[in-house]
Amino acid sequence: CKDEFLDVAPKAVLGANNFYNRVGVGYLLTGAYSLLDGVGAGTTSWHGSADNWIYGSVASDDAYKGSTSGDQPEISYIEYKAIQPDNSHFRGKWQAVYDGVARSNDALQAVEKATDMSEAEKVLVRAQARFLRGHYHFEAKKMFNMVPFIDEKTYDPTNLNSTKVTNDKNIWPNIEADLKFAYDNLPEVQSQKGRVTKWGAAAMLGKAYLFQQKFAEAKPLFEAIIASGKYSLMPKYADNHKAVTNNNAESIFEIQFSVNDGAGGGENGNQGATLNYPYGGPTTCCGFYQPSQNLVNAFKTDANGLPLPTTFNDADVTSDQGVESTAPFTPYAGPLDPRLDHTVGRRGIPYLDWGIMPGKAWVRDQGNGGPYEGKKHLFQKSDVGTNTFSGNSRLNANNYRLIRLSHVYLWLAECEIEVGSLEKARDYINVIRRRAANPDGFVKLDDGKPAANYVVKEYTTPFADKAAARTAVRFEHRLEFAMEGHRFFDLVRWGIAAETLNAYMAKEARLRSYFNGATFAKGKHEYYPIPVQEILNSKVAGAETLKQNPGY
Amino acid sequence: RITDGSDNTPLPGANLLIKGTQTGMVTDADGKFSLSVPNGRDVLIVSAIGFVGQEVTIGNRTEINITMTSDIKTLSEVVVTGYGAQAKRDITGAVATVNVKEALKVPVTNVSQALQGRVAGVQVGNDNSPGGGTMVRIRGFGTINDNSPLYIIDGVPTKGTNNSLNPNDIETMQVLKDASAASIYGSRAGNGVVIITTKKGKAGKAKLTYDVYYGTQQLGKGLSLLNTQQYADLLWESRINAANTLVNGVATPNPGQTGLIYPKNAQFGSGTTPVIPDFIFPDGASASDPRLAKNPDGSYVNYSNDIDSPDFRKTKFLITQANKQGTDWFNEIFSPAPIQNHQLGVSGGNEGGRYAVSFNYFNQQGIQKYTGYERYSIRANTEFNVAKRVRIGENLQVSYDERIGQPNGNNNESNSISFAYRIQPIIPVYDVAGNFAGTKGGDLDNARNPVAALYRNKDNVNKNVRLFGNVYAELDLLPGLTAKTSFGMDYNLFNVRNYNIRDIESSESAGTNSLGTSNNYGYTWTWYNTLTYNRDLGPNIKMNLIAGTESIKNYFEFFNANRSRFADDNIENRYLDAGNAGTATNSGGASNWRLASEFAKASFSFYDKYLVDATIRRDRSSRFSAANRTAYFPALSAGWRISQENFMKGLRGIDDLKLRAAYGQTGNQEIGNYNPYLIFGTNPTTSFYDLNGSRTSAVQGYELQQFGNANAKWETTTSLDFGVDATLFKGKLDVTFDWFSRTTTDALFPIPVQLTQGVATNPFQNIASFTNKGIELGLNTGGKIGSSGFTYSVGANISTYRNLVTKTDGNASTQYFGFATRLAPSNVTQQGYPIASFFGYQLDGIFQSDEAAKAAPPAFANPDGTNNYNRAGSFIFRDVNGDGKITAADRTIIGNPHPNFTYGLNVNLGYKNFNLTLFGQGVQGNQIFNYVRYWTDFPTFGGNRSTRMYYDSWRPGKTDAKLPIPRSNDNISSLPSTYYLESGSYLRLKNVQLSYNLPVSIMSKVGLSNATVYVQGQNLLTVTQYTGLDPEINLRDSGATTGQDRQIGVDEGAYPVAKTLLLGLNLAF
Repeated sequence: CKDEFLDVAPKAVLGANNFYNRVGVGYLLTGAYSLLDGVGAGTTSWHGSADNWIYGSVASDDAYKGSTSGDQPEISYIEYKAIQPDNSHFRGKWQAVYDGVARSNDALQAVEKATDMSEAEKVLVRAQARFLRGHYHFEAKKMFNMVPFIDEKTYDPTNLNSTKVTNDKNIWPNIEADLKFAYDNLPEVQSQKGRVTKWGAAAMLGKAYLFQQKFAEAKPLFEAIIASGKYSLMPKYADNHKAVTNNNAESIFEIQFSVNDGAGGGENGNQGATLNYPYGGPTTCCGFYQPSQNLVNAFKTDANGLPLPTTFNDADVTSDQGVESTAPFTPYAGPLDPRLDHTVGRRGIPYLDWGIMPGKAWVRDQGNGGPYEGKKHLFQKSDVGTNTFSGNSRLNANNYRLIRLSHVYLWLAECEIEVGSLEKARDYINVIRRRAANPDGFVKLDDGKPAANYVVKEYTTPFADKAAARTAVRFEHRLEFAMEGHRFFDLVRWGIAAETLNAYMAKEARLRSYFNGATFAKGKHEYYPIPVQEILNSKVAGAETLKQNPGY
Repeated sequence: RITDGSDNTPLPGANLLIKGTQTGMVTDADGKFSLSVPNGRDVLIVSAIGFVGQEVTIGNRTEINITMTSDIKTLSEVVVTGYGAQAKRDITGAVATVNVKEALKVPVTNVSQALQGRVAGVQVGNDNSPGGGTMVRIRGFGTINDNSPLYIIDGVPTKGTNNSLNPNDIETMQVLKDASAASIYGSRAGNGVVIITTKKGKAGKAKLTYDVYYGTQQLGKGLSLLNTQQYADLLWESRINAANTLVNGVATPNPGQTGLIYPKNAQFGSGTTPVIPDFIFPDGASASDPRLAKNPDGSYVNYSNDIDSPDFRKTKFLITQANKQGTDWFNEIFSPAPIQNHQLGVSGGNEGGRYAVSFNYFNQQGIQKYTGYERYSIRANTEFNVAKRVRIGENLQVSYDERIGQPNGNNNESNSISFAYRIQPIIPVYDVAGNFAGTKGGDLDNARNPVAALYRNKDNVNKNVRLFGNVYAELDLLPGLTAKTSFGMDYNLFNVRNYNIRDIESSESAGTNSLGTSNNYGYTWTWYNTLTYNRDLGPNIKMNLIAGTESIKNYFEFFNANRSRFADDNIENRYLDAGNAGTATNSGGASNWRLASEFAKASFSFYDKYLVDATIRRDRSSRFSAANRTAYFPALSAGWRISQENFMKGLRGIDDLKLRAAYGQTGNQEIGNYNPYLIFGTNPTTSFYDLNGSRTSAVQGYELQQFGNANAKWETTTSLDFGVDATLFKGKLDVTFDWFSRTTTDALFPIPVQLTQGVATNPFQNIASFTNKGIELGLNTGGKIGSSGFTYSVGANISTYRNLVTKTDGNASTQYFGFATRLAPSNVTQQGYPIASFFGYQLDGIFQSDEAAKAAPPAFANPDGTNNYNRAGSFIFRDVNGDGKITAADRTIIGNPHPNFTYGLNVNLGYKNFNLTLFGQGVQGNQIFNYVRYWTDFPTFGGNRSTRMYYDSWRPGKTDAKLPIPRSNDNISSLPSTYYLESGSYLRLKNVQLSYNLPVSIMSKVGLSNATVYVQGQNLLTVTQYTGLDPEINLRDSGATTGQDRQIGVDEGAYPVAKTLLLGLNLAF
C-alpha cells in the first residue's frame, strides 16, 4: 500500500487553522461565553454551576443542602465544614472556570492570527475575551485564593505542560488588568444582549477592587455606572428572577440560559440548578438547596420596617416543620420584609404562579432539609412550554443575574462608608429599600391582598457610626441577594465568616442535627482547598507546581 | 469401509498403505476403498489426521470395516496459525487448541464465552444478560487500553464480543498466547489472537444434521434485603440515633430537651415506634380514610393518573396500598425463562468442490423479565477446484439479531437490578387500579419500580444485521508453492428505536415521553495475499515459508435523532414523526482507520528434533502520525524434541517430549482513530451560547475537543515463553506447561492533564510499562478402564498471572484513578502495584466506647478537633500515614482484583451409549469491591437495606458488629474502604451433561446415521463466599471501551448468571 492509504482525517471537526479569520474567531469567542453557565466543561453540572449555590449559599447561613441526608453527601461536607481536598465538587468548579480560561485564550490566540479583521474588530474581540478570562479567574480566586493565572502567552494547546504554573502569586493584578482592558475598550451598549458591555466590565472590575478592600478605586467606577444612565432599578423586585424579564433595565451582566435550542438534553437551560427544585408541585426533583431557618428569620422587620441585625434569630418565623400538608397551619403574622416571599417558598404563601405552597407535600425530606424551598431560580407556571425545556421543565431560561444595578448601589454604599460619606451610603441603601417597599411588587393572594404582613421602610435617621452603617449595608446585601450564591464570599471579604457561621451552625444544630459539633476553622475555611487531583496532576519532572491552601 | 468411531459416520480421505509396499490409496466420500493385496502382504497401515493410526491384518477377508478412534493426543493435530497451518508437533510458540466439541456442549451466545475455563491463561468475563458483552483477557493485562484479543475468523480479523457470529459453525479454535505465535498479526496481536475456522464441507454425499436444545433458566440467588417491618425499625433506629445525643451509642435527650426526639415519616407516623400504614398514597392513610371512598363498582372515587392536574396529590391520588409484609423485588423482576437453539446443516462435496451450509436460530429470553436475545443466521462455506491448480472459495455468514437489554444497561445505578434493591419493600408492584405503583407518596425515596422499567422497555429492540466472510483464491504455482488471495468483509448495520414512557408513579417522574432513534453502519474490509512454500530440503529437513501483504480499511457512521411529547404511547405511534417537531434534536458523525502490513515467516524442522521458527511483520497504521506510523514486530522461537535424542530413548513412559523457547514482539494501537490531531468541534450542549438573549435559540460556537499528540508511537509487548509439551504413558497423558513473561513498554496512556490546560480529550502518550508473568499447566488424560466398557477423559488446566505496573509517568506516587460513581474512585493504577488495585481507607474494626473513640486519631475533624467522626460504634479508620489524624491522605491500596490462579476441569465418562460430562471452572484469590453495599449497607438515599445492616450493625455491647451504629446522617462510614472488599473466589459447576447415543440398529431404520439425546444442567452449583449476586463479575465489560481495565472488579449489581436446565437432541442423516 502507498502511504496515502494511511492518511485519514477526523470527521465533523476542524483543525486550529480553520479559525484564523473573523468567522472562526467569532466561533471561539462564543465557545468562551458558553462556559459562563459553568456547564459543558465535562464536569457534573452542579459542581461548576455559575450561581455558586453550593459554595456561596449552602456553605453560608442562607441555605441547607436539602434533599435526603445520604444524597450527594459531598455537598453536606461543604455545608458542615467537613471539607477534604478530594471532594469532587471543588475539582468540578476548578474545571469549569479553567476551561473558560482556556477557551478565552483560544479566542485570543486566534484573533492574533486572523488576517481578515480590522484592528478595531480585533480589539473588540480581545476586550470580550479578556473580560471572560478575568471573570473566570475571579471565580477561581474567590473560591481558592491562591490560584495560577493563565494567559494566552502561557497557554499552548499543543504542549500539555504549558499551563503548569505555580500558585504562589496573588493574581489580583492580572485579573484587574484583564477587566481594565475590557472596561477601556468595550462599547457602552452591545446589540446582542448576552455580550458584555463597558459597564459590565466596570462593575466586575469594581467588584474585584472590593474583594481587595480597594474602596477608593472602586467608588468612581460604580458612580460612573450609575451616571451613565443606562440602567435603572426595575420597579418590582421580582423582575430580577423571571425569565420573561431577562436582560431588563436593571441587568448589568447576565448569564444567559436558553431552551429548545437544539441541545438534546436542554443543557443550555439552568442546568447547574437541576437538583434545586421542589419535590412535588412544579417539578419532581430533586429537593436540594433549601433556605435555612436563619435566613427566613433575617427577613423579620421591626415596627419601623427596619431589619433586626442583632436579634432577628432569637425567635423563629413560624414554620410548618413536621406538619403534614393535610393538617392545618397558620403562617407567621409578624412584620416581614416582602423580599422574603420572593426568595423563599413557604407554606401558605403563593409559590410564584403555581398556587399556594402546600408545605411538606413539596418537600423531599423535611427532617433533613427543613420546610422551605428556593424560589428565585424557579420558572413560572406560565413559562412552561415556552421558557422551559420540552424534555424536562427544570431546565429553564430564567437567567442568572450575575451583576445588576442593585449590586452597584450596595457596593457603592460600602465604598462610601469606608472612604466617603455615611449619609450617601444611607441614600444608596434606601434606594434599594424603597424599591422593596413598592406594594405593587408584593406577593399577593388571589384576593389582591398581600400574602403576609409586609413592612419594609427606609433608614430615616443617620447611621450612628461606621460600624452601624456596615451592619446595615451587609444586612441589606443579604436580604437583597439571598439564595443567589454570594453570601459566603461576601462574609469572607468582610472578614466575618468565622464568627457568623460558627454562631449560625451552633444555633441551627437544634433544627439540623448534622450541624452538631460543626465548626468553621478561622484561617482555613475562608477558602476551599486546591483540588488534590489537580495538585497531583501539576507535576513537572516529579515536582508539584501547585501548593495546597493552609489548613488542608 | 472406514468409519469415524465417534459418530460412526464414513471417514473420507483416510490414507491406506499396504505394509512393506508403496501401494496405497485414499478413501472416497463414503469412506470406502478397494485394493488388491499382493500375497504375503496382508497388513494395512491406516491413518487419518486426528485419528489414532492402526495396523489391520486382512487375512482372507474381502470386505473390511475399520473403525478409527479419535486421537486425544493433541500433539498430532494440525492447527491453523497465522496465514497457514502447522502440525502441532512442530509448533514452538504457545498455541492452545480449544476442544470445540467439548466447549460447545455448553450453550453459549458467542465464541468468547466458549473459551471460559477451556484454555490455561485465558480469562473470560460475561455480563450474563442475553446478548450481553463478554471480556476476554489472555495472560493478564498488558496495556491500560483495550486488552481484548484479536479474532481471526476464516482469515478475517475482528474484535469485540461477536454475538452475531454463530458459534455452532465453528470447526476449530486456536489461541495464540505468546508473541512468537501471534506476532505475524503484529500491531493488533499484543493481547493474543484467537483463530477460528468455520465448518467446511467434506467430500462425500450430502450429510444433513439437526441439533436442537431447549431449556429453562432461572435466577441462582438474589440479595438478602429487609421486609417492611424490618425496614421501618431500622429507619427508626437510625433516625433516633441521628436526632439525639449519643452516649456510648445510647440515644439520650439533647441538651435542653426532656425526652428523645422521634422521627416523623409520612408513612410510618411520628411515634416512638413506626406504624405500618394501610396505604402509602395518600401518604400513610388508614383504610378508613375518607379520601379512599369507593364507587359502587368498587373502584376508588379519588383515583387519578393525571399527575399534572392541580388536584393531584391534594384530592386525587394514584391510590396505592402498603405491602405490609414487603415486596420481594428480586422475585418480581426475575422469572424462569426459556432458551432454545436450532442448528440445521447440510454439507458434502466431491472432487469438484465442497460445501457446508447451515441455518441457526437461537433465542435466549432473559431471567430478568422482558429482556432477551434472538438471532437468525445463515452460513454458506464453499470451495471449488476450478482447475487442477486453482481453488476458489468463500465463507459467508449473514445474521440478524435482536436484543432487549435491561433499561440503562448492566452495572448501572438506574437499571432494574439496582432499583430492585433501591426501592422500599412497602411499595407494591401495582396500585389499586392495577397500574404500576411507585414512589409518588411521601418519604418513599426516588427509586423507580423496576418491573415497570423492564415492562416499558420491552419494545426497545436493538437490531443488528451483520455480513461476515471472505472470498479467496488459491493457485498452486509450483510443487509446494501456493499463492493465495483473500478479501474479507465485516459489515454491520444497527438500528434501535428507544422509546421512554413516562413513569408517572415515580417521585421523580419524567416530564414527558420521548423517543431516540439510532441508525449506525460500519464496515471493515481486509485484503491479504500470501505466498506459501512447503518443501523438504533433503530427507530430514522440512521447510515452510510464508510471505504476504495485508491491508485493512474501516469506516463507521452514525445518525441519532430524538423527539419528545408524543400524543400516545401506542407502539404504532413510536416514530419520530409522531413526536413534537419543536423538540427535535439530532446528531451524526463518522470515523475511520486503516492499516497496511507486510509479513514473512519461516519454519524449519531438522530431523524432527530441532525446530526453528522466525517471523517478521511491518505495520503502518493511520492512527499514528506519518512520522511514527511504521513499526516492525519480530519473533523467534525454537523447539527441541528431546525425546528423539538417543539418551532419552531408553526412558519408559515418555512418548514425546518437546522443550520450547520463544521470544517475540507484538503491538497495540487501540488509542482511538485520530490521536495525533488537535481538534475543535461544535456542540449545542457545550459550545453554544444564547448571545442574543432570545431564551429559545443559541448561537453556534466552537470548542477545543482534543489536544492531540502527533508524537505517539506504537505500544510494544515483548514476550518470552518457555514451554514443555509431553505425551506420556503410551498416549495416556498429555501435559503442556508454560512459563511466560510479557513486558509492555511505551504503553499508551491518556495522562490526566491538569485542568488549567482546559478540558479536552487527553491524548495517548507513550509512558507506562507493565509486566505480566505467570505459569500455565494443561493436562489431558483418557482411556478405557479395562474391558468394562467404561471410557474416561479428563482435561484440566490451571494458570496464573502476576500483573505489575512497573512505570506510569516515571513518578512512583502518580496515581491514575478508575471507576467513580457516587463514591470516590475505588481503583487506582500506580507504579509498583497491579493495574486497577483497590484504593480507599483501611478499617480496623469498630469503636466500642466513646472513650476509645476519643483517644484515637481524630477522623475527618477540623484542626481544633471539632467535627470528629469518631464515637462509639463508628468505624476505626487507620491512620496510614501516621500524622495523628484521619484525612483523605490516609487512603491507600487496600486490595487486589487479580486472582492468584484460575482453573478449569472437564471430565467425560462413557459407558456403552451413555456419556456424562462435567465441567467446572473457577478463580481463586481475587477480591471484589462490592459497590452495591453503598446502597444497601449505609444510610444512602432511602432505599431498601440489607439484612446484614439490620442484624450486624453495631449496638452497645455488640462487639462482633460488621457495620457502624446506624445513624441516618452518617455520611462518613460509606467512604470507600476495606468494608466493601470481599473474596471473589469461586468454583462453579458450569455444566453437567448426560447424553445417550441411540443404538445404530434403531437409527438406521429411520435413515439416521447418528442420534444423541441429552439432558444438561448449567451453573447448578457455585461454591463462593461472595455475598453479592454473582462473583463472576471480575471482568465486567466487553473491553471495547478504553479504560475499562482501570476499573475491574467492581460490582454494581451485575446481571447474575442463570441456572439452566436443558434437553437436547443431535441428529445426523
